[in-house]
Amino acid sequence: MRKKLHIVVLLIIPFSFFIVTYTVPFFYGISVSFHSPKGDFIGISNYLLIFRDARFLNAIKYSLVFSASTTVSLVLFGLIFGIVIHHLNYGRSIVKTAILIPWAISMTVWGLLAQIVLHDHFGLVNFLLLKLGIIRQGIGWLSDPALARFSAIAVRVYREVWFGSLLFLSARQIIPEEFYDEARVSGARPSQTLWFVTLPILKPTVLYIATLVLIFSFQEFDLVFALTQGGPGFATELASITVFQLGVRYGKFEYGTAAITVWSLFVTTIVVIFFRFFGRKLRDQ
Amino acid sequence: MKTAVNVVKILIVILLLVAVFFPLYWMINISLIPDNEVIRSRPHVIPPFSMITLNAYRETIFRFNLLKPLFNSVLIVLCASVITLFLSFPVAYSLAKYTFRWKPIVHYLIIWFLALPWIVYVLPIFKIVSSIGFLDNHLLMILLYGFSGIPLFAWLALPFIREFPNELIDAARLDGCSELGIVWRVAVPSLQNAFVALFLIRFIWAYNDLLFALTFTFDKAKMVMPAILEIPGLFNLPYAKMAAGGVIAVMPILVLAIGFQSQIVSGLTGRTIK
Repeated sequence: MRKKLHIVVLLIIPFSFFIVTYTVPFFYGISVSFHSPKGDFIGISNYLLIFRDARFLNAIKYSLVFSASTTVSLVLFGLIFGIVIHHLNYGRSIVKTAILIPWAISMTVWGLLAQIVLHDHFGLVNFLLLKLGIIRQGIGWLSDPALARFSAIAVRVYREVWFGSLLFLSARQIIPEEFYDEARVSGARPSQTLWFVTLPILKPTVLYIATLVLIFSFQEFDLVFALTQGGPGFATELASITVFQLGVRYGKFEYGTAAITVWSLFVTTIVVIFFRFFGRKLRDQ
Repeated sequence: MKTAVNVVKILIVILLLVAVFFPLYWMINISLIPDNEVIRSRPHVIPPFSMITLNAYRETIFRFNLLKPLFNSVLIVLCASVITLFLSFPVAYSLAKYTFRWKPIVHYLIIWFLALPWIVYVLPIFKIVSSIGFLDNHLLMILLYGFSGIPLFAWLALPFIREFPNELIDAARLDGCSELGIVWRVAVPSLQNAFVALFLIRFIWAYNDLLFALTFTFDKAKMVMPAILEIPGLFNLPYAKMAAGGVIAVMPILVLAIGFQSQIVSGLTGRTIK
């Protein structure tokens, strides 16, 4: 019995603070989703409404597109940048310091800034594209629904790619030089060492970072909310933004909690699938 | 050949640095230009010297009263980060150093908590908190941010603690030190660096968060991220003020990120390379 005491103090008590403040309300939310605003039990009526709500279904669809495309581009560009930065002999340390700057700027500020830069008439992006002769007239990066969906993804990738590069860079830096000496002695070209030495060694890191970035993409709220507030119309609404608007702004708790339950089931399933196949390093027991 | 490669490398360094610094530069640039000069089809790439004004800063500080939310944010996040570290470190320690039967379950729970988006907690907590009239309160925000980091930071601290030699723990045990005494007197002091790194990261992430701050604070305890989100109006484009608010909100974090960059990098990458 005495032996168990330290586990209670060190593990169970600290952990239960999270359980009580977060997990218990989460399950309370699930139970609320089966009730009407007056508190009567109405079964799955809220869920039937949710699945006919075009706004919510579109938000789920856009969330999936958003998460998939940010994850793929962040891993791809992060890997390329990480390896490139590793090979810059003089600038490596200064670049390594500098890439913390976009990471330090909050998503909210980043979104506001992107609003300024992407404006149809007064934004820098359209000005440069016009000047280079790539476009004839200003593009509505944030006012055209389809383009706004793309812009939100691009703005997020621009901010997050540095963080990914940092992780890949540090993973690349700890590969022992001997592997490369050996490859060089046996006459491998740089492209061959990249393909047969670097990438296979980095493979677990790639899968690990992909999982991490996917999780963070599903969390996304701040940047898109600051950038477009879900607009124009509902075009760039992520599931998190829809739930926030329904529940906090319009006070539709029961409906909102049903949306949460569906969304959390969705995310849990996807992450579980990811872990089963890729995430050995995250599980890490 | 060698020089050509070097020239390309220097060009890449310059390109990367431009891409990294550009957003910060542009924000400062716009914040120094009067509003009517920001809204023009030929943007000023460098603020014209005769136009430079601190008017936008004056407006955001005095009219939007931005210093109060800034102070609220720093205060709340500082207390919350201490709580997070204080609670998540022992969790990580017991996962790294003890064996018990349901350890895998705790692991899976942590991963699940990491994966669940924060939005799923917002509505039920909002409902509970507003029914007991506890909204917009410093203590509420300290507790929310303090406890929300427990799974993530236990998970981030795990590789650092695992590297801590078991021999030291055994030696302390032989000397008659209690289990809690070992954590407090042996493990914590020698893991100081990891502690500082994770504290900084927790501070930065909580400070930069919008969702909770926007949902639970609006007046007395209003935090800085929702505050700057109120600067853009519906029909006007106060770009200079938005940029100035952004600069003010980002400043504390930039100072931390530059001042402690090696600690932050080690904290962020610990999980990847260990």
